[in-house]
Formats: sequence, C-alpha cells, structure tokens
Amino acid sequence: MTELAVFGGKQLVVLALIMPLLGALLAFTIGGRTARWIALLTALVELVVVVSLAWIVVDQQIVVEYQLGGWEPPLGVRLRADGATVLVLLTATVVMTATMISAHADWQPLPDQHETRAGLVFWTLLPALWAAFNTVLLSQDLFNLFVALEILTFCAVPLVCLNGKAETFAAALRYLLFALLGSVLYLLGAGLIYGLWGTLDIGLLALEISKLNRYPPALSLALGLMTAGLMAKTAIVPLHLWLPPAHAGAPAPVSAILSAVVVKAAFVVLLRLWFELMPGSADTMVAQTQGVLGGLAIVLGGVLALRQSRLKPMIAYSTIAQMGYLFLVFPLAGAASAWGAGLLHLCSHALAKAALFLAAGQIITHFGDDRIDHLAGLGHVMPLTLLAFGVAGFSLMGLPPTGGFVAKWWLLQAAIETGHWGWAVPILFGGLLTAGYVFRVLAVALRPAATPALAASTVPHTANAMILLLALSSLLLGLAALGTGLPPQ
Amino acid sequence: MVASTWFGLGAALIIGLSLFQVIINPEPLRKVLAFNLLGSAVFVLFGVLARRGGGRIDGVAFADPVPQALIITGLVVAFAATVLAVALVLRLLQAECATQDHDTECRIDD
Amino acid sequence: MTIQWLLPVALATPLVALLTALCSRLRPWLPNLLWLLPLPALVAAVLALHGIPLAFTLSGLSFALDQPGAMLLAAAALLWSLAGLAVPAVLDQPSATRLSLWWLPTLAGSLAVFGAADLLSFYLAYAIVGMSSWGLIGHADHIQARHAAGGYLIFALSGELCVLMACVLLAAPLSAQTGLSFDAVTAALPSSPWRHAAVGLLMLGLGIKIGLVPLHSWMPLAYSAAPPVAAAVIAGAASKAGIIGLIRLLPIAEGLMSTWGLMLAVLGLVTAFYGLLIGVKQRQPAAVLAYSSISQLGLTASLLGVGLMSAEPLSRAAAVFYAAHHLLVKGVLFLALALIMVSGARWRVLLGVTLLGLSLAGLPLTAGFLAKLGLKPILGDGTIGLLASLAAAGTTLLMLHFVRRLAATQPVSPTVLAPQAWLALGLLSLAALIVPWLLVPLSLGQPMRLALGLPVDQIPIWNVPWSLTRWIEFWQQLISAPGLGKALWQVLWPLLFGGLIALALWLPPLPPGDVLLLVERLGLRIVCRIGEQIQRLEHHLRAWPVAGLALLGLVLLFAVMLMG
Repeated sequence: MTELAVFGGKQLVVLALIMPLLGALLAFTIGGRTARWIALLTALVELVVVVSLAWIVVDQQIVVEYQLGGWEPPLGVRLRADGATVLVLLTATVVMTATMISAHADWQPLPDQHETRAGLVFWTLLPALWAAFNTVLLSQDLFNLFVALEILTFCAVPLVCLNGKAETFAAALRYLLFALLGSVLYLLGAGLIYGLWGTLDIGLLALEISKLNRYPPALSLALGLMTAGLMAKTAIVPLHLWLPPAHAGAPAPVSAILSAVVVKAAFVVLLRLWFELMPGSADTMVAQTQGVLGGLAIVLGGVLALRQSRLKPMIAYSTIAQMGYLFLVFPLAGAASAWGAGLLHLCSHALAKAALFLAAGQIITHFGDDRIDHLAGLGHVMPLTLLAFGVAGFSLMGLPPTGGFVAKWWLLQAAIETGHWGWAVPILFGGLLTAGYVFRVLAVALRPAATPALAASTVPHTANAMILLLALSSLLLGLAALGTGLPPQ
Repeated sequence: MVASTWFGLGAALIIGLSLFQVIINPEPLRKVLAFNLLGSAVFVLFGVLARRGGGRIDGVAFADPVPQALIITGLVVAFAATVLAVALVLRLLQAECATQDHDTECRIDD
Repeated sequence: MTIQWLLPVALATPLVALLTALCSRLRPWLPNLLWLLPLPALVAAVLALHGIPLAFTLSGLSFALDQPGAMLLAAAALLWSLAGLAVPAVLDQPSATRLSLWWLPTLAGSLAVFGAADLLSFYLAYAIVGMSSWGLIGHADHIQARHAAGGYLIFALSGELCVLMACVLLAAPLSAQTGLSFDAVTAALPSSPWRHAAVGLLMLGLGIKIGLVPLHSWMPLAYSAAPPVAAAVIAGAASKAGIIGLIRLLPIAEGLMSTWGLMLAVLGLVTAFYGLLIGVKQRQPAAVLAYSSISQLGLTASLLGVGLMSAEPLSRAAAVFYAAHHLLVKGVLFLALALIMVSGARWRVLLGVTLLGLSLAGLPLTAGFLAKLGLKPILGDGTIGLLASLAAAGTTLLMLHFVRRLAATQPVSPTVLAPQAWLALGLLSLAALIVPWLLVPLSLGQPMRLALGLPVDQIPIWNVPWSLTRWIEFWQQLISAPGLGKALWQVLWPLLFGGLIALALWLPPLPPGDVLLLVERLGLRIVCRIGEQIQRLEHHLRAWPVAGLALLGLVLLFAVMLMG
C-alpha cells in the first residue's frame, strides 16, 4: 500500500512541474480570450495535484524522490519533495491560485479585440513562472536550480513592465541585469564545485563536504560566489537596488507574485546550500554576516517603508525588511526552532504580502489614489479590502495568533536558545517599524473622508474574497503552527 | 603551463574585465554586452573543467561530457537573457523617446 | 643605528625656521609651513616609543627621549602640526605671519621640554615656552588681549622665578660628578637641607603653570583673549610643561613627600571642583574650556599628589597618559572653536566635539575611558576616588555646557574655510580618539591591569618597546578580564549622573503632560532626522555601482571567511 502511494507521489512530483508548464504552452499557442481560462484551469488542477502531494508527504511522513529518466546521481537529476518543500509548494500554490482568480477580470480585451498584449503575457508567463518556481523547490541539482532560477527571472521581468511605461522598462532592465549578475556568479560557483567532485547533486555533495575538516580554496570561493549570487536575487540589503522600483511599478497581481513567491525562490536555494550542503554552519563568520545584513535589511527596509508616501512602494520596502527576517535564520541555525521559524516566516509572509499587494491594487483601481495621506474614507468605501489589508498587516507585524507571530516567536526562542541575545533586537525593533507603517495606513484609512461624495465600493466580490482568503490563510497558518506545538525540525 | 591553465587564466581575466564593465558602465546596452562576455568567459571555464575531468581511452583523448552539456544549456539561457535584455533596452529607448527629447540619455543607474 | 641626529634636528627645526623669518621675502611663507615643523619630533617620538634610544648633549644641555617624554612629545607634535595646518585658514595672511613669529619659539620650547634630560635643559625649555606663549596670547590687537597678556606675563614670570629658584636649590647638593640629570636630582633631594624650600617653590611655580587654585586666574583671561587656534596649542601642549615638571622633579620616596603630596592632592581636587563650578557659569566658550583645563590639570595634579603620598610610581604612568589624552582632546576642542568662530556652528562638528568632550569625562569606548580607568587603582575606592568620580560627573556637565555655548556661537560674518582647516580638525579628532588606544600598554598597562583585577606581573612600568604583537596581546588579555563590567560601570555612572544634571538644569519649563509632549516634540524631530539620513543612505546604496561592488565584496568576504 505504501509503495503504491510512493509511486503515486512520484507521479505527482512530476505533474506538479509539468502542469503549469503545459498550461503556459497551451495558453500561449491558443491565446486570445481562452488564455485566461486555460491558466485558471491549470491553477485549479495544480491545486489538486499539490494538495494530494502534500497529503501523501505529510500523512505518510515520507520523502518523495524521483530520478529523471531513471538516471541516478552523480549524472542524473533528482526531484525531491519533503515536508518543508511541500509546505512552500502549497503556499505558492495558494498564492498563485488566489492571485489568478482575483485578477481574472484584468486586461480584458475590448469587444472588437482578439486579445490584449498584457493579458496574453500575463496569462502565459504566470504559469511558466509557477513551473520554474516549483522546479526550484523540487530540484536537487545545482545546475538545474540555476536553469530554474533563470527561467523564473525571465518570466518575472516581462511581467514587471506589463503596463509599458518607461520607468517600468527601466525597472525591469535593472532587475534583469542585477539578477543575471547574481546568476552568473552562482553558475561560476556551481562550475567550480563540479570541478571539485564531478557532481552537482546536493545530496552527494553534502556527503563529500561532510568528510572535509577544512574547505579547499576552490570550494570556499565557489560557496562565496553562490551565496552572494543568490543573495543578490533575494534583494538583501545592500543588494536590493532592483526590488523597490520593480515591485512597486509592476501591476498589483504581478507585484503580489514577485514579492510573495519569486524572491523566495533564491532564498530556498540558499537554505539548501547552508542547511543541506553545510549543516552546522551557524557559528561561521558567513552566517553571522548574513545575519547582520538581515538585521540591516530589517531596519533599513522598515524605515524606508515608513517614509514612503505611496502604498505600493511602502509594501515593496516592507518586503525588503521581511526578507531580512529570513536571513536571521542563518546565525540562529544552531537552535532547533530556527529552521521551522524561517520556513514559517517565508510562508506566512508570502500569504500576507500577496494579500497586501492585491489589496493595494484594488485600492488604486477603485479608490483611485494610493497616496497614503489621501486614503481617508477608505474604510467606509472598501471595508472588506481594508479588513484584509489589516489582517495581512497584523501578520507582518507579528501580532498573535498570525503566522508572522509564531515565526517571530520561534526566532526569538532560537535567539535565546543559542545564547545570541543580540539577534532579538532587530527582530523586536523590526516589529515596531512594521507596526508603524501598517498602522499609519490604517489610521488614515479609518478616518472619515474629507469629501463624503465617494461612491460605495465596486470591488468585485471574487477579488475581495481572494484577498481575504490570503490574509486569513496567513492567520490560519499561525494557528496551525501553534497547534503543532514545538517548531518542526 | 598546460593549456587548460592558460585557458583558465584567460577566462578569469575576461571575467574580471567584464565584471568591471557591468558594474561601472552606466549604459544599459554596454552592460548587456559586458554581461554576455561574462557569460562566455564562464563557459570557457566550464570547458576547462571538461578537459580536466576528461581522460584517454585507447590513446584517444576525450573530455568530460557533463560540463559540455552544461555549456550548451547555459548558452541557450544566456541567449535568452540577451534577447530579453536587448528587447527591454529597445522598449526603454522607444518609451523614453516618445516622452522626452531625443538627446536624453537612457540610464538605469541612479 | 646612526639615527641619533634625529633628536637634535627635531628640536632645532622650529628655531631654524625662526631664523628664516629674518628674511622678509621668506616670512610670508612661514604660516604655510607650520604644520611641517613638528613632524621630525613626531618621528623621533615614535621611534623612541619603539624602543630606539635617542639622546644628545650639547654644551652641558642634555636631551633624551624616554617613554613618558616620548608619549607626551608624540601627542604634542601631532597637535602642533595639525593646529599649524589650520593657522593659515583661520587667520589672514599678515596676522598669521605675525603669529608665526611667536608660534615657532613656543613650539620649540614646548617640544624641548618633553625631551629635556637634565635640570638646565628643562629650565631652558620651560622658560622658552612660558615666555613665548605671551606673544601668542597677546596676538590680537585689542585692549582685552593686551590686558590678558599682561596678566599672564606677571603670573608666568613669577612662576618661572620660583622654578628657577627651585632649580638652583635642587642643584645645590649636586656635584660635577653626578651631573644635573633628573635621577641625580631626585636622588639627592631627600637628604638636602633645602628640600622643603625647593619642593615648595617648585610646586608654587609649576602650580602657576597648571593653574592650581588660587594661582589660576590668568588662565581663563589668557585663553579667551588668545586666538583660539593659539589657545589650542597653549592649553593643549604648552600647559603640560607643568605636568612634566612635576613628574620629573619631585622624587617618589617613602616618608619625605607625604605632606607635600597631601597638599598637592588636596589643592588639585579643590582646583578640579573649582574649575567645574566656575566653568558652568561661563558664557564664552573659550572661558568654559579654560576652566575645564584648570579642572583637568587639577585632577592630574591630585593624581600625582596621591602618588607622592603613597610613594606609588604607577601614579606617574597614569598621569602621563591622562595628560597626553587631555592634550589631544583640549587641542581638538579649541581647534573646533577656532573653526566655528570663523564659519559658524555645524552639527557634524558639534557631534564630534560632544563625543570628545565626553571623552574627557570618560565616555566608554573613547580614550578618556582608559584614562579614567587608569586613575582607579591609584585614587582607590575611598573618598578621593569618589571625589574623582564626582569630578567626572562635573566634567560631563561642563562639556555639555561647552557644546551648548559652542552651538550658540555665531561669527559676525561667516566665511567659508579652506578645506585644510576641516582636514586638520578631522585628523586631530581621529588622533585624539585613536592614538591613546595605541599608547595604553606603554604607560597605562599596569594601572589598567590593576583596575580590571588582572595579576600585575613583573613587567616594568616603562621602557617596554611598543610593538604590534605586544599591543594585540595586551588588549586580548584586557578584554577578557573579569573586572571589565564593574570598571565600565564605575566610569559610566558619573557620566550618566552629570548628563542627568545637565538635562535637569536645561529642561525648558514643562507643560502638563510633561514627558510625553517633550518626547513628541523633540523625539519626533530627532526620529525624522534619523529617518531622513537613513533614506539618503539607502538612496546611495541603490546606485548600481555601489550595489555591484557590494555584491563582489560579499563574494570575496564569504570566500575569505570560509577559507579562514
């Protein structure tokens, strides 16, 4: 019975990769008004696939592995789904599906048009991006990860400049070039590692590395290259130059995906490198440096978010700050709860950030203004959207019982457990800053409007429902995590 | 010195030069070209790895095929990246020229 | 090593430069060269600190650099050089040239007094520095300056006569065989029939120099009348001639000096508090600094006094360090005043001045913290230690008061200063923050060890050549010392206490709802300011080349870290 289920798991792992890819290809070839429905259908099927995969992995406590073409490492490429992978996979799926559904009415062709350029690009590239993200999650091969990260970037960049304004082209180009720089460094590192052991499989490399008591220079350089390259793609301070214009300038559904999903991909690979390839690296100088940069990002991103006058740039800077939390996992890795905290933070941030961006998009479309000081009366006009915004904001802040709260709780626990109390300072201070920018919006939005003539909300119910769903998932994630008691190891 | 060492050093040199251009040159197109060169240099390095990982069977030298396969994949990726970047540069220029004077420089730097 | 020519060259350079002033064509160049002239002395001092013995004798006048002398010489040469760099920027050409004519002999004397190795050469240098300071003080062409210079001359002349008389009495029991070296002088003094007269006169004369109450009144007048850039070198470097005199000429011998030591200690403490009390009531920034100098020198004197009472040679080591630190910091404060009086207050300068001013009070991580820590084992935890802590609290108050007065300083017509002036100030501030840290193991090694509860092994107090490995080793030991936390608190509480008093004194009348409103008004402004700065920083970080270089930097950093 178990064997049969594992067999099913293998099929599901492959399906999880292929389904969105298939959707992208179909949407592109058929195009027109159908593209949207193909993408949405893909999302629903993928949802079913991922939920079943998650069910198998969690229910039977197994790790599903699949070797492409039956080739074994060191030559072959492995796909692997364990509990952590499945959790991120599930989160991404929820975010993707909810975003697609909430955006289903956008970029409608006019009655006399066959299709819109933006619509086709969106409905084609979004499933492709999804496939790339899933590959990043499932792949166990350093080069395969590189290709997946590249495809992810190539899908994300055109989405950034979907509205065709000059500044978004500049933002997209900046994003592309910096991401490419990071990728090349990563590739160089991967090449050096291949030169050392003749394999790119993470599992085998971990075995080899565990035999060393001192890293040879080539390995040190390779790991340095890969780590820094991936950090460029996660937009950690001071490598965040591309993120604010790209995430703030893109259309809201794209921003949601970029902030919730895309930046997390490189971080997942970083986690792989540091937790699977080199376990027990918490006390190294590199981990400490990563932590310091994370702390810096929390402060810098938080302060900058507070100082933005518009909603979307504010949320974009908030992403920078929240990525900072993730990097605190590295110096705290010695504690059992650090890994789980990082994972939980990643997922709850993805859900909450997607909700925030989608809410901001609805506010811009239907309220007509995203200057924070001009949001008075929003609570009256769009109460549900604002509610979702608030719940998601609470999760970012880390108010109990949201996922953000549990993640921070576990991070603090890790800080205490490892005896590195200092890391608690940025964690707590960052929460303060987050509260500052979330409440700043809520305070203005709950004020009565200066001009009472504003019409009642015309936000489509599906969009509101999806935003609320995302925000509430972030909350439920926290409840579920609290329910499990101890953080997973 | 053996040939692979020379190739390795050459690749390192090109990597250094093109990194310099990528970082310092403010013109987007130059950045794209420099990035392209950077990618090529990395592929040369992969070629060196293939040679070092190779051997001889019956007196015939062969190279490690895996890095070669990686080069081919990498070339496709680099090509796609270049195309995308050039398309973006083009659209950026068009968009800027539509809104501004013709002689303004298009920069992605601050 | 035939480097022996360096010391005579170093000491003679200012005098040679003075000779060129005879040529009227060369004279206008002098102000631009002022910064160069002390550099040979700086090199000589650094070499001496590294353990290369430098000495020479010229017709009965012998000069040599031991470590206490070299330490003070290094600090003084730094101050003279950087203050000299600022002179052409803050004064106009004819005025600067005129100042140079007095600057050079003062410089010569001020440097030589630290290198003097016998009674005669000491007195010679002491007299030169004392007399030529008069020209610096009376430089400005107004009645107040002339009045101050006149007052200074009367005090200085009487002081020098006392020192001369004391020197004669000290030399009396010595014969031609023993020579006039300091060792011979201090060895012969206890058995001399004129010992009390000699010591009394010496303390009187040197007391005038360092402004012991009630012999201090010339100092505030002189410092506020002199051009601030000249006051920087007088208050910083020239006044230390008195301290080095106390160190060189008073013997540490059980029994003999206890009464005089007690007197010096009491007078010093009285002076320390007197300076603080009068200082906070001053409105002129230069006068505030003058009273702060009186207070600091008083504290140094009391430190030496306690050392004499208990026959503790460590007191000298601590005093030399304390004096060297005060030398640099007071130089920075006056120099900042000089620049601000020309160009107007700037908040960056004020920030630096606050930091260095609090260094005088012993702010942790500044060099002043080390100086204060060095006092602890000598002054003890008793009444004198407590009084010294209170003095530090007072210094905090006084320095904050100075910063306030400095911020209110408005030049009549603000002019843009040449960048070299800011460079001089910046470098001197850096030196004041960093140089003492480098010097610590030389003089403060044992006091610091005692203060931190480390075992004091058989390391001699002086004459261990400076080397980097020894320096690193020293700090490694100190940082892991168990008593660090306690010592930190001992130095910190007076600072907090003083800061609180300052806050209480200057708090504006409070509206109901006091703290919240205050925080809202003041805190919000500060927070916004910080936010602005962070935003600006972030903007720079987002420039492509910066981010690109940061990326490559991280690659290399990680690679190196992983290799190490």
